[in-house]
Amino acid sequence: MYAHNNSEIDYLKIACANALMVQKNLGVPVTLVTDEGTLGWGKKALGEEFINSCFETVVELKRDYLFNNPRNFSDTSFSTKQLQFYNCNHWEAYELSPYDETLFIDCDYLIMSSALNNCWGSDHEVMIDHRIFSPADDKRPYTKYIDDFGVRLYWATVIYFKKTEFAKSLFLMVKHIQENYRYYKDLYVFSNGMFRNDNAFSVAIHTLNGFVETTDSVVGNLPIPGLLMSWDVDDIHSIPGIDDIVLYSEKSKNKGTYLLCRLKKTDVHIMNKWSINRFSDRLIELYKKESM
Amino acid sequence: MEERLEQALAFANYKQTLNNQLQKLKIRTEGMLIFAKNGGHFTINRELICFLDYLNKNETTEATLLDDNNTPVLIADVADFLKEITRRYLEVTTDYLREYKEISKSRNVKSILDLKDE
Repeated sequence: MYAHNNSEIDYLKIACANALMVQKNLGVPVTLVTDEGTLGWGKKALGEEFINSCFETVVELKRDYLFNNPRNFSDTSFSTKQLQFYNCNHWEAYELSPYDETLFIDCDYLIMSSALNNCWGSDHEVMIDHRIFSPADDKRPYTKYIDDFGVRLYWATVIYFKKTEFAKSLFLMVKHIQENYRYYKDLYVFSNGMFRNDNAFSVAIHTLNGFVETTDSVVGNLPIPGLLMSWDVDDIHSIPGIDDIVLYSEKSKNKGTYLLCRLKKTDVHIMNKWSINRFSDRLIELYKKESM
Repeated sequence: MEERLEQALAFANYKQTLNNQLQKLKIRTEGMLIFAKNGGHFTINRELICFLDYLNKNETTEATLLDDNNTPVLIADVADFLKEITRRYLEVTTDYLREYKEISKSRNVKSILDLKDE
């Protein structure tokens, strides 16, 4: 799990909450990749002992403060702010992972079920998914392909990998794309200049597939029906209990109006970081009790 | 707003929420019907159960099946695998039915979501 805070979003706190959820639902140890500033803040705000109880290993990296990757962060359709997005170097996960089999998850992909336990022991060296769905039925078609020419968009929110030569070459390819992002941005007509891990993985997979769209991809789909994406225009209504969340899901054709959606025992990616920050104390309180 | 229109909009919202909740339940059920075996993963459905039953009745003890990613996976004990997936299928669909009925009988948004007054 990666957590690099920016000036307003406490990714580390979200990661702590989610690590407790992983412990409860998947029963596996969690490694955190972070930087000295984020960790220092976390130790003050949450306590070193608590952070150590969430993670088996903490990898502290030196942060490049000159790295400039502004991104719009929305808190529903009514508020948007431009902040730095630093959680970028997913390609490093291959080298940094201390495990033979690793599930890389974004800290805001809340693990509320044991579904991903089906990954362990898979024949696939890498599994990553392109199938997504929303808490409300409205699907956003632009999230299926990275550009108008049809390169399939893989979501680097959850990645299963083993320490194998193929996995290593895929992550190296992602690194290469990140280092030459402006070139690939023009080549594949990414919609904006901000670096996205999703785009880098999609292009890497497309390249390793021999530049063709194929049903026999070099990577497998995850053993789930798809990733459930709560968009940044959505919000959290409440968290009634363990593995139980109620979301406001914006109707795509009617801005500012919402469907309420209750999810139980279903993993969900919460893209509205503000909303998850507002509820991270509640999550920690619930899952801390569970782990005691 | 005219009262009739307000009622119609409220009903539309109720129907949308109902359908959405049922669809989320269906997706969760589909997830629970995915079964990992020998490095592959299989979506348990009637077709898989029937095929395994056919193999089992023909006294085929070992078979190679294509999993959800079209990867060939050796099933060393067909009868045992059939038993495992049938049990999982029945457990999951029984829960599905119970929750489906609960949601379907709800007559307003609050009860569909089983929200308590705060």
